[in-house]
Amino acid sequence: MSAQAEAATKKTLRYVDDRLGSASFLRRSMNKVFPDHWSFLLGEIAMYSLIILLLTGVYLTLFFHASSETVVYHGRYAPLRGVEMTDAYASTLHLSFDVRGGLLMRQIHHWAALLFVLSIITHACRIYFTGAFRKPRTLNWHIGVGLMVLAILEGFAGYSLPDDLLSGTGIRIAYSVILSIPVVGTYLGYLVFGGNFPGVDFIPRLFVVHVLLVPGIIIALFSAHMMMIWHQKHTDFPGPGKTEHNVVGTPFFPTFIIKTNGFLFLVFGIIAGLGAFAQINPVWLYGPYDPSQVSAGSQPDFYIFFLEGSLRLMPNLETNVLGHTISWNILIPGVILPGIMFTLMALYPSIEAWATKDKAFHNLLQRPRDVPVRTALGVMALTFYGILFIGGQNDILARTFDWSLQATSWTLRVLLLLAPPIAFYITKRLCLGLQHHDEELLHHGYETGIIRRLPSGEYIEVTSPLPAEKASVLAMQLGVEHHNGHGALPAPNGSGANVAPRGGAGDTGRAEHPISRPVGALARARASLENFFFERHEPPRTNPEDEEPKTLKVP
Amino acid sequence: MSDDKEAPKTAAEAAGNPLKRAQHPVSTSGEPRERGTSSSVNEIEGEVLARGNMAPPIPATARPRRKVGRRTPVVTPETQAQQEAHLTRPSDEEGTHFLPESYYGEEPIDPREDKFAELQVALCFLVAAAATVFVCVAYFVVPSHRRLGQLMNYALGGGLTIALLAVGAGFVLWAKKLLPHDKAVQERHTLHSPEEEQLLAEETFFKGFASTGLGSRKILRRSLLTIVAVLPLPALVLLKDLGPLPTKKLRQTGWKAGDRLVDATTRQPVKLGDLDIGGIKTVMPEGFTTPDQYALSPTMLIRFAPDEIRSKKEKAWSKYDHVAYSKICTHAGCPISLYEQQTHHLLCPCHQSTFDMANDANVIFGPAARRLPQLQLDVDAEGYFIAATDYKEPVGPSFWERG
Repeated sequence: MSAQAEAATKKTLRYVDDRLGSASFLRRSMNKVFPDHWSFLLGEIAMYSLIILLLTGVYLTLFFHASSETVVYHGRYAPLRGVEMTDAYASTLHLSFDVRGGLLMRQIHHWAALLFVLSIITHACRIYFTGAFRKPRTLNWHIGVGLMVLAILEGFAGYSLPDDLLSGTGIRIAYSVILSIPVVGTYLGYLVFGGNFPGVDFIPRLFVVHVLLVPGIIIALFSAHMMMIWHQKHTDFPGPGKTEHNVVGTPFFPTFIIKTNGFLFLVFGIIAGLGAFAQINPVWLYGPYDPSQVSAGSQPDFYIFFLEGSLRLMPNLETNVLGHTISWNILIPGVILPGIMFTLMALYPSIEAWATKDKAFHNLLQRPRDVPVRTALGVMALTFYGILFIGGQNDILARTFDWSLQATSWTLRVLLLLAPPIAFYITKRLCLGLQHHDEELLHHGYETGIIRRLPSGEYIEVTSPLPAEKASVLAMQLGVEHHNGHGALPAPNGSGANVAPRGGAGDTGRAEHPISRPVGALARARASLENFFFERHEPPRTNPEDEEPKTLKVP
Repeated sequence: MSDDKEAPKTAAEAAGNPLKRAQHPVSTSGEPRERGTSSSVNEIEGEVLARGNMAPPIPATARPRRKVGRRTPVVTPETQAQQEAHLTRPSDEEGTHFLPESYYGEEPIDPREDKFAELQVALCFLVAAAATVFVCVAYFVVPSHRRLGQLMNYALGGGLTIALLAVGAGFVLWAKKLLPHDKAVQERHTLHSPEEEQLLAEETFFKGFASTGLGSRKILRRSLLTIVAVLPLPALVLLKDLGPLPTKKLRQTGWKAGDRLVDATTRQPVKLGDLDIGGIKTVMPEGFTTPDQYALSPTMLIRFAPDEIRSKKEKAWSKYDHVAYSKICTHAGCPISLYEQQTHHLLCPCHQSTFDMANDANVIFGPAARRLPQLQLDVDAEGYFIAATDYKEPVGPSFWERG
């Protein structure tokens, strides 16, 4: 740096430090170590999509009229000239055709929203399958689930603002879901819509929710999310030299910040590319909203598919009691099921910690195979979600593949109940199989691919043992004792490479408890959940030597 | 026999630096161990190879961490100094300590490669700058009504894409080729405070709480709880005027006795002969201004062949084999639109509820639980279809007070 620039920088730093005492904070921040793994970038994609949403969203608010006043369109799009429509729809058409760059901003905004929700879901899966939600990060998980729900609601509100035929159908369905709530449904519906559907108040109110209220909550929650990561430090996968008590990676300044800045612009660039060249939400093709019209094959945005599917697959149950109707066919798929799903998702870390009696701090991540039951439960949940997701497009599938619509719906209904348990079983066995493979690797080493023929005529394979560091890390992940052939290697750097008994990898912090009968229904439930979480259902090994493959272990 | 180096005192010291060991894993024989390079393997491999080239040679050296080009690097005093400059930065109180890249036995920086890398990054930024200028110019220069603005969209969007991607590429190349690949290790301090801190905090809180008097003064506590419970209420109450109370409006549509049926698009009244047998038409009550005003009013007028209608009640409410049913699906309120003439099934496109229109519009498939309400038809003096009354039951999705 030139002498002048250096002097100026020093002066600035002292100016700020004089007033804020920021020197040590700055130094610690610049030195802060960030671990490296591609899967840690998924959350960053969500963060950068959020920034784009905020920037393009501000642009859109400058042109959009959130009003249900009826106007006659006289803009550039000829097929709709002279047609009566709401000012919201007309201003969207104006933005798309008469404002230079307006359509680009609309499409970038919509693609960024899709990428935002998609990256949140993928990021949540990464957190789940690697066990990053465990203590001390459970609170962050709750905030994350809240952010996910808000992102989905925000997306729904966003694409409903232009008041076109496709999104208006979605609002109609949402109104019916509100009405179906027992006792208060009609009051809520009338309050939210200012009367009967559709009314003239809904679009302006939705605009305030979409532009001010929900983004405010998202920004606040997201800031808390980031501050917690900063304070608690990021988790990392086990590896050589990595322990529960350190972080290994790149320092924040200058390496990490420049890398992450590059990634920011790459994400921006890809979203801009999508917005420029991939058409999304062409509202002029749908026409203005009319409660007496609907298009065949109407589909919401992808993150609402699971709700569409649940509405389509639900059998037609309705009960009539003393002059009051409860529409289970709307209430369950629209209110109760998503409520249960998101609640379970939010509470899962607490349930798992309670069931496994795990009170320790965890900073190292687990591989999905190291926790077969958690992984299998996650795959089961994703299967359930996936079938609901597919169910939302049953008519499109039937039309594309020439299936009977009724048969498709019935097949999906049956699959919804059958497929998740099957997925659970398969995933669990796969995880256990992968663990077996790892154990083979640990005990016998790599296959070198070299076959040796013994004088007796027998063929054996030559294996070479894992490097010691790798072996101890693998042993810790599998939760087995590991001796490196000629005596135990000292744990690297006092890492506490755990030799916890099988059934819990990592610093479990579980108290040594003698076998005791649990007393009380809750304690018994807890014990049975614990057994469920750790059981492996392996056939007993009768004679270990019989099962060992003949290998030549090269010393 | 004395050793030059001092004997390691702990096992951790004996083991050495974890990152170094990661690069050169130790074996009991003391030689570096790599996959497939042990002496016996080489022996065997030698035998195998001697018999005819079966196993491929295993490379002895690991790949260098950073590719600095395929030429032998030129080492100058300046580059040496540059490398030294990347050495350990001062550690901080969090125990962050840096491991310089020269530590890994990295190849020294070749100034030609270095310069080339710098030019690459600069090129990326220049391309981005050019694309940005292009965007600004295109905004004014590109004809904005060509293909309804599609050309402008591509120009602005394409330019923006190139600019952003080029900036990103520039930063990434900078990080990969020009920045030091420092590895740092930082201590994670235990998050929870030391026991005495926690005890002090608890004590501070409880003593403070005790001094508020909330613990002991019952009247104070109860009155406070009362006001806390009551204070948020105006916030809720003030929201009441968001909308009217749900009234009979949910049970009414825009139809009155004597209203003519008019085509929803042409707004012309309908008489016998306008609809062919098997035909279907969406109708609204005459005099509706916009569809929103009568959102529950859209009605389907269907003409059947004689004797096609099976239900007696349906027959009773029909006129000249024309029947009228509510178009609003009883499931979630979508206007039902897909009519299968041969089977007289009406399919709602939203969630595929299917109604048998010849048989009281009963539900034959799908999540809808109730049949569609029927509108009783009549004809007026001029022969146009009219509604005999409003719908006799609430139209559309169910709600609690429906009955």
